[in-house]
Amino acid sequence: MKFKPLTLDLQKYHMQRLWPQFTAATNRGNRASWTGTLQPTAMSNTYTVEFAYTARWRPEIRVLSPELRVRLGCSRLPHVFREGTLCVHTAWEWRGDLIIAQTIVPWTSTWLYFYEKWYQTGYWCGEGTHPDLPQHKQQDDVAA
Amino acid sequence: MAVNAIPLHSDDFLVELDDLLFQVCEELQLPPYRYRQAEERYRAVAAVLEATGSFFATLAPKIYPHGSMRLGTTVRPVGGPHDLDFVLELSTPYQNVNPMKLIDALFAVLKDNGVYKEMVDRKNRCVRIKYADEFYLDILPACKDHGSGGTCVQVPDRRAKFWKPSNPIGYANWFQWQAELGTRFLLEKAMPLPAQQRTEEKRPMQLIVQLLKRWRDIYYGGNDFAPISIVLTTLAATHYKGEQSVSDGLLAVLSRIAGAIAVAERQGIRLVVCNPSNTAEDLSECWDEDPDAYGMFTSGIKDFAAQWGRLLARGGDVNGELDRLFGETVQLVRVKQARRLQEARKAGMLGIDAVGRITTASAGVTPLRPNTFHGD
Repeated sequence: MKFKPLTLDLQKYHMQRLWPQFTAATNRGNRASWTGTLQPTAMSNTYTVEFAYTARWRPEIRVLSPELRVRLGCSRLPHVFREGTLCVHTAWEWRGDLIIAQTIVPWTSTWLYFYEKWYQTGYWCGEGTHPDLPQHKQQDDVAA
Repeated sequence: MAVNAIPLHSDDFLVELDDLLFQVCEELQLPPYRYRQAEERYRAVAAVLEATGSFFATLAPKIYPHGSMRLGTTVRPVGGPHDLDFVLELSTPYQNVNPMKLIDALFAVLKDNGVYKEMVDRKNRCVRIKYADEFYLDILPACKDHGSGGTCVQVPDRRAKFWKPSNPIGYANWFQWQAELGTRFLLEKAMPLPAQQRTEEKRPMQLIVQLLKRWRDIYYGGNDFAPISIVLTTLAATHYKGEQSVSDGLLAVLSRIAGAIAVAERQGIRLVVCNPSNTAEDLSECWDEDPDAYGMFTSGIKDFAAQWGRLLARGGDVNGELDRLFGETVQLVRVKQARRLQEARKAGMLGIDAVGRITTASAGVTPLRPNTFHGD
């Protein structure tokens, strides 16, 4: 199906409208990035997150601070790419005509929520792909 | 040392923390099916004691729960069974009864019974029935103390080889009166998602008592010198002034207990914790024989008050501290919370508010569209 990608200006407009605490940090032609804070619950850390977007490509999500921690006994974080950016969607769930502010940002907040619970308990309760990986251990084997 | 921390957290933090603590208490307390089982078992014991020919049959025995089961403050001990307390009250004036013979008779009746003979044990003031599955029933024999009036009783004490004053019903009434200074716990505001609707209604003070007992079990690691439940319960109920938030109420109670300890220190005495419904009963008399236990109690309370004050003042991610204070039950609650949130996410019920907090979808929040967490 054909779709028309949103312009960077429109992405920036929506980011400014929905997440005014994020500042647009760079803008080189077809590339923009936003840095700001997200706190998934009142009992969570407040994370400084950067979204870097090159038009049409997958937005890259980096947590700048506090540093994401790997739970003791696990070799790596769940649902991240090798270079450490967060992976909050599958390839077919992102398209250039979607609004980052309405998709990537809320997904990142829920990723951070499930990350915190994973770090605290060892269980990734947000489901997703590769449920067989040790760092993606699901909650089903927890005694009710 | 009183802790007068000024909480800097947002209301949302307190609401979330209260919700988590509520769920921790729910995990710790006797589950409903066990409660029903305990009731059935004490009725079965009552039937044995009331049976024709029993020593007790002519003494108009009444058997009723007291302690944490009556107060709604049960806490599963770390790695051990619940012990549930019942009073076997006889209408006979205590002056007409030999206290040692009374506790021996209770033991003998149960020992002679085919069902209970292998399960009973004599303790200082009660006879314990040990069930294989998760709990003990402690039966405390008691006789009416008409001189003290009201619901006062006297109970045999094997160490003292005499009677000791008590008033379990009066105590429970006092506890309920204190608890009703606070309204029932409400969860409508809890974010991001309140736990399922509870049928049981709890008051903040009951949760404060449960949390104190749980902290005690973790902090003192099950050692004999740990403060006993009745002392913690009485102190909490005495110093509770109707705080609606469990978290704030816990800090207020701890600060006031620490204040009372400081006053006693200045007077060169130990804190005396009496049964408010029968002040002749010093619930804390064990501290007379063990000053070290008293020292560990006072330093423990001061520690807890300071830690809890810092935790509330800081807000945000206090999860590590909660694990240390209340143990692994907190973990179980977190998994359940995350599981509930995931179900709501799949049902399309969630949104994200302006600071990125997950909440139930409504006007003014960004709806959460379906996504799949992925990765290499």
